[in-house]
Amino acid sequence: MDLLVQLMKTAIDPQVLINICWGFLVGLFFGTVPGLTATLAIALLLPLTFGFPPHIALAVCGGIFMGGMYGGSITATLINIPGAPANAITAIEAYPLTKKGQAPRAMRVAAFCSSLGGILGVILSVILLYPLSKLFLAFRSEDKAVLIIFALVVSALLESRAIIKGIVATLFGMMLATIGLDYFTFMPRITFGVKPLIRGLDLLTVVVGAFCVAEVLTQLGQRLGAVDLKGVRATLRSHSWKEFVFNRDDLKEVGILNILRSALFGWIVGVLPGGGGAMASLINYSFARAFSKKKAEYGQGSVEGVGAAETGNNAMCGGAAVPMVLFGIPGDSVTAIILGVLLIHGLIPGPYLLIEQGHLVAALYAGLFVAAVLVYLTFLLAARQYVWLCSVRKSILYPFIMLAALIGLYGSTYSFDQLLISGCLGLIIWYLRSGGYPTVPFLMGFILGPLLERFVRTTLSMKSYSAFVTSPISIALWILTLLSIFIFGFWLPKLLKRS
Amino acid sequence: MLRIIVLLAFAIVYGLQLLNLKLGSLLSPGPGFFPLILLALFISFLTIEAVQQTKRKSQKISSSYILALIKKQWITFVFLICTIAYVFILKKIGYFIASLLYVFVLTALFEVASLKDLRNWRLWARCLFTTIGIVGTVYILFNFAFKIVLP
Repeated sequence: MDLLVQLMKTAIDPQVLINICWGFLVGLFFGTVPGLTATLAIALLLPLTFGFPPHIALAVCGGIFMGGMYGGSITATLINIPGAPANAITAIEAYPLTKKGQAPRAMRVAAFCSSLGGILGVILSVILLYPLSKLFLAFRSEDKAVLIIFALVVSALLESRAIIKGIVATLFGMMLATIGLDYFTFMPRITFGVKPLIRGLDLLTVVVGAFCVAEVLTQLGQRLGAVDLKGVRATLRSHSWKEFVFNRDDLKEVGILNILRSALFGWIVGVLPGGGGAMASLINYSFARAFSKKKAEYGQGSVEGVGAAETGNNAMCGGAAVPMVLFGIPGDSVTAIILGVLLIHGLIPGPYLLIEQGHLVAALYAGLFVAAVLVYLTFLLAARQYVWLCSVRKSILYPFIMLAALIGLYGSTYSFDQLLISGCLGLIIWYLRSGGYPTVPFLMGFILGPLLERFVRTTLSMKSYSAFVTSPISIALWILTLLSIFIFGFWLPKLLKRS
Repeated sequence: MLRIIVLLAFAIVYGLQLLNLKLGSLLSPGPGFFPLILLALFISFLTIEAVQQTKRKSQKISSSYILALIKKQWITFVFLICTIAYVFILKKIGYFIASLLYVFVLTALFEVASLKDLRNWRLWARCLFTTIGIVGTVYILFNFAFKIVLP
């Protein structure tokens, strides 16, 4: 309850509110433009958060996260190009509705369900955070090590189409994280004879390389032509603003049960490390289709499908922050970078962060909550103008992103070496990504690798290797890991293939 | 397959670095203990991936294949060379001139789609104005709003 009160107090603070609003708009813009994602927006913002008080930085991140998650549905609906992978499912159902002349209907359902999903996800998280934090206090070093193994396994399984590539990417990230000073002996290791590598690789350098440099390289390779938006603009103008208001008939068609189920499953996928919006919308869409009475509508433009996918991916946002706050284990790529924001401000995630500095956690959730409300409010105000967001030229966007990322990295490290390292990392990650090696497990490995090493070595030094298999919590987590391998490695891919 | 070779090369260099590190024992692990486990797992999974790829039809690596790849990805190489050069000249000549040159090249890479475009003076003018706008915006943003001292 404390957290809920703090969240409300933070949400009505004018300074926080203004910052959430601009964060939301930045997220909305990055989400809408194909190729740009909320991850990229927060990666660009990361160096700048040095100058912000931590609660403002976290609130802004919350705003960007929610705005970005929704933004992708606009282009998915209007031009059949999902702004982000999380909205690919929306495009399957919403674009046929646009082709039938029902763009306002598809857009209002996507906006309302995104908003509601986001709010429900935040409420679920706020209610469950304290009980979960008490549970985590009982974790010892061996349990924490097994928890991280569980997180790494799940992230490798969930993020990639080819599981082996996911595992290789995770291990590659973990290996890069071992570069630099050893945590226990302070001895430099694996520096390849390069002096700047003695201090190791900064998270910021890796994030700029993985999400900015690699993205610009990808976009340079694709060189997509400009999308003709004249027709879409004319279609949207021909509808009155009343047609953009979500109504009772829409609610009946989407189904309250469908919304609640999608919010719950979306939140659970968010809690799972590496789950992400794409998996949340895919799972919810599959479930909605399996339980639907109007199965024939799917693929031809189903409002139910749009509702399930959009509720799920926005509810995921609240869930993804839970493991990040409690265990320092990011739920997806965006929360991995938000974790960087916490670390930049010297904050250590864990139950004590919640107990001693609950206002910071409240600020993050206030950002998500206010942004979820803004999703529908801004839609009502500017739905017909959203199409303008898609018309920004790539030749303006990407050079700006590249320059801002490099200067931001320089501004936070004051090191030219870090710029070169991020450039080299960007090239490597772009090359691996173009071969199907996913980026998110790589980042998870980079973040969680050092933690895993610390807990494993502490346990081995203080206890014995048998501690990993005798502690009751560890046993439960091993069972959960095996169960996850079965579910996400075998059962779910089969189910998704069938549906 | 080329990616696996690249990753394997990384694993070999990583392994050579491990030779200088103490491994310790199971009850008192040294700095090389954890990286060694990672390396072993990495090579194992890379081998599985290599076996899987050889079963699939894959492009044979030959000099002509590499040349074709370079031809296809020339834009990537230009971008990388420019980025590395930018970092060096940023140090030497400062933010404004270095960034103007770098952003101009980047904008041109995105704008120029064919050889015909090289003669289009309007396109070059657009690149120039875009460059000035971007460099100015980033300067205002970082120098004034975020108070970062630029080189």
